[in-house]
Amino acid sequence: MNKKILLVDDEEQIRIMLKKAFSQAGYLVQCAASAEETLDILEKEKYQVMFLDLKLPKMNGVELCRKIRKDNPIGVIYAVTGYASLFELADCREAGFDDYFNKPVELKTLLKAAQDAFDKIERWKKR
Amino acid sequence: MKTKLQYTSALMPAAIAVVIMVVGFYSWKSHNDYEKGLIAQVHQLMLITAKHSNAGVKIRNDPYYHHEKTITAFTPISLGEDFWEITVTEPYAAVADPIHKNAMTTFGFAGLIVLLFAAGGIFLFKTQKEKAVLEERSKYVDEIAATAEALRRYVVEIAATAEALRQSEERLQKLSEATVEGVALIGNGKILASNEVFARMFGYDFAEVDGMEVLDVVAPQYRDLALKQMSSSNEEPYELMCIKKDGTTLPVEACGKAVSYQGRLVKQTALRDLSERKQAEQERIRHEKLQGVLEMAGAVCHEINQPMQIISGYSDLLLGEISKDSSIYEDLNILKGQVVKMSEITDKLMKITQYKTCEYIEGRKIIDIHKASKEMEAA
Repeated sequence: MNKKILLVDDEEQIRIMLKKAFSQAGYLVQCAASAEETLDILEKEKYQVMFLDLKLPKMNGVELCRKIRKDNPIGVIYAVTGYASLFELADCREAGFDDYFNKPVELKTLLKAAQDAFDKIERWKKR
Repeated sequence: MKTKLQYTSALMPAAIAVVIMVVGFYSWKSHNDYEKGLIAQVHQLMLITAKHSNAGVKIRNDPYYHHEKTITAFTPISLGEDFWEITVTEPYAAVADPIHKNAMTTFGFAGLIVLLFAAGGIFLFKTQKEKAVLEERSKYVDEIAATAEALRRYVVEIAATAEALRQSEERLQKLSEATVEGVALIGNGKILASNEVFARMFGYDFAEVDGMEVLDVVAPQYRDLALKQMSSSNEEPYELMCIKKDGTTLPVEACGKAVSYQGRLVKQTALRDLSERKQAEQERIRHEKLQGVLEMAGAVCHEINQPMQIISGYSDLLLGEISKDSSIYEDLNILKGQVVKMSEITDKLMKITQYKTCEYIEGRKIIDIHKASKEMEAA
């Protein structure tokens, strides 16, 4: 089974770089630049592992996570943010993020997170 | 006037009693001449019954009665042409004793009445006198009672005035204690009187303050200002720094006003402790500054972390692609190491919780990122 990852970031260079990194690691990567685009993609295709930037135009990452969680309680959703205050982090927990990473984050950390996510989903599926 | 009337009314029965006694006396005296009386009485009787002017009575030692004393009543009566004389003779004792007894009874009865009247008169006199005395006394008692009542009212009034004064004093005391301002009356550079708040503000006992030199509680650099304000008629509030008993400083807002106190013009000065206000003001400034710093830090983190993520990511990708023996491997590693250092700085920027500065160049200050985020790291 192909391991699909959805990357959401409004910064194009980051999307390109991360897509390259995850692809090299063997994942199938889909990118989106906004919340609206993400929701369109998810309507057509299901993703279980997602990396969302918190600061997005219009709808932010926290709101996007809430919407995704309504239809997908099991999927693993990570927040990747350039800056988050303590209150925003509390919101992240409440919105349903599994974990968060501060930019700049090492690629190996993100790759490990992706691996852990798929392991977790695998465990859930076995039950 | 009333008393005189009472005396008169007491004397009246006494006078009557005296008259009766006089009558009694004469009655007794006539009893001694009862013979004359007896004759007169019988004669009178004869004159009435016989209706004849020659009727009479006489007493004599009658030979027909063994020369005992007899009483004879006689009266002539005409029977046709003849005149007859009817004579009745009885032993004197037989007529005199009942009459004598009767006279004695009358006398005794009169005496008893006199005694009764006399006793009554005396009793009445005494009673009236006592009554008069009692009334006189009661008049004095009334007067004394009225005076006592007036005194009582006066005492009650004084007590009420004293209570009102006490309450007024208590109210003033409470008001004085309730105020947040320290108030002092200052004359000739000395504190003449003050409230407890004033003493408390400076850490003195209430009794210590009165008589103190006012400049003793003013910080040296503010003494000229204090002197100038005390001698001017300015009633606008001004700020100055004071010194407490323990030597620490106390920022206050002072407001002076000329008032009359014990016949002379003094300066009534109200002091408001500004410590809390100043502290709150500083706290507000620090908070505002911190808010500004946090906003700036947020912007910097967000904007810098994005390109840093790209540099870091591509460094990782490149390091994975080239051999460790390559001449640029180490250079790339250094590049990535610098990104890590930069990320440590932005990480600290994100953890700033307080406003801390450090000296930079020529007195300029910059945010001390390390100290400002220290507590967060420790936590």
